[in-house]
Amino acid sequence: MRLLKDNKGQIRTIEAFFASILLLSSLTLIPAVQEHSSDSTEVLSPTAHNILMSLDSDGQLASLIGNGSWINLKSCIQSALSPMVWFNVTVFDESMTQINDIPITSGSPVNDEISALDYVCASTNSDYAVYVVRLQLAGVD
Amino acid sequence: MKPRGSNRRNSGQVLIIAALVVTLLLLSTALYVSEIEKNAAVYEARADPAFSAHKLGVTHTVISALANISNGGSANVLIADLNQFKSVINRHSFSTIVTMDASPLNATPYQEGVWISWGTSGRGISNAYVNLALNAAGTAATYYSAYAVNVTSEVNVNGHYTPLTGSQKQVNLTCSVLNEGKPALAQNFTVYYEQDGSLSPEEWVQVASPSITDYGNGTYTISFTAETTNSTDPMLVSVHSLDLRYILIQANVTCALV
Repeated sequence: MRLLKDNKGQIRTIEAFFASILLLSSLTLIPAVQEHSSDSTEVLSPTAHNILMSLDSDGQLASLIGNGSWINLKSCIQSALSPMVWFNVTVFDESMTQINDIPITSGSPVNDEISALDYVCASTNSDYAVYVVRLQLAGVD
Repeated sequence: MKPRGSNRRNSGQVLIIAALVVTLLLLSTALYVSEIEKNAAVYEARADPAFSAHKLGVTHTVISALANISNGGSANVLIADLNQFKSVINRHSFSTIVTMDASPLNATPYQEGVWISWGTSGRGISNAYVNLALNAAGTAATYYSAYAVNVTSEVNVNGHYTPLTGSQKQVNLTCSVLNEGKPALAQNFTVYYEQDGSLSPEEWVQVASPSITDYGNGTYTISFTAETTNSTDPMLVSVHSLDLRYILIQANVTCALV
């Protein structure tokens, strides 16, 4: 197509058009990047599951509970978590009666957004017992 | 030489081409990043993470039942424990409906999923076998898994003895402990020998303090001095072993004279 003789205005219009396309295409990328980092509970829930699962893999979790080793249980969970994550553990028997007589926590929660996971674990020793471990996690803002 | 006016007229077109190139670069980068993200391992929110925990729980339940049964507990313990575990997971599956179907193997030589073979040829096995089908039905997806839980503790014993003065004998045993066919450590050993080398009647004498060497790879050597009724009595030895899972295994062996 042949441009008009005084084509300065048309070129500027086309430039502006491409610039706007460029801007819009850049804007579409922003939500995709933010999508993965917005919800901390999506990260904390699998973290809680992985910690309890790794502790339970060799029967150590039920063994600590059976022996009432709450301090050791706290140390195990604390060592698996970042210092920037708050946690609280409550241990129940199968009738949902709380077993731990001391709080197993890293302090007071610093975030309203708390992720909680109920994990069912079975003991491996001959005196069989099933426990429900509730692990609550929250990230520091 | 080109006139100056021509360069000035082309500057807009160069800018457009440059803008196009930059746009293409950005879009191709975005496409590349999105393709890379597709291949990365990301947490799938719909998957039921408790599913693998249930599998682990069932394995622990079978280990517990075998520890109980091998130490003299009732054979019904396995089914009772599995039902107990099942009822707890049913009460704590909030986002999914979990169905667990546990069937202890009843084919020979198993009875109610348990096979205990504490033989006289130096090999002892305590074994439990359960077929399991787990189904987790959620709002977004349904997961199904069928597998077998096989818990086996095994001890293999062979030994020889050297006659000492009178009816005394120096006995040396080599024991290997296995869990699921792989070398495993033992909690402790209790050793007995037959007083007169005959099983009718059985007169087992417990060895007070045998010398046990742990090689750290599931192999142990046990040495002790035994005194039978007569110097010609065969040397029958019974080894009782508790593995680290507290499962009891026994094996009897007739030691060879060297």
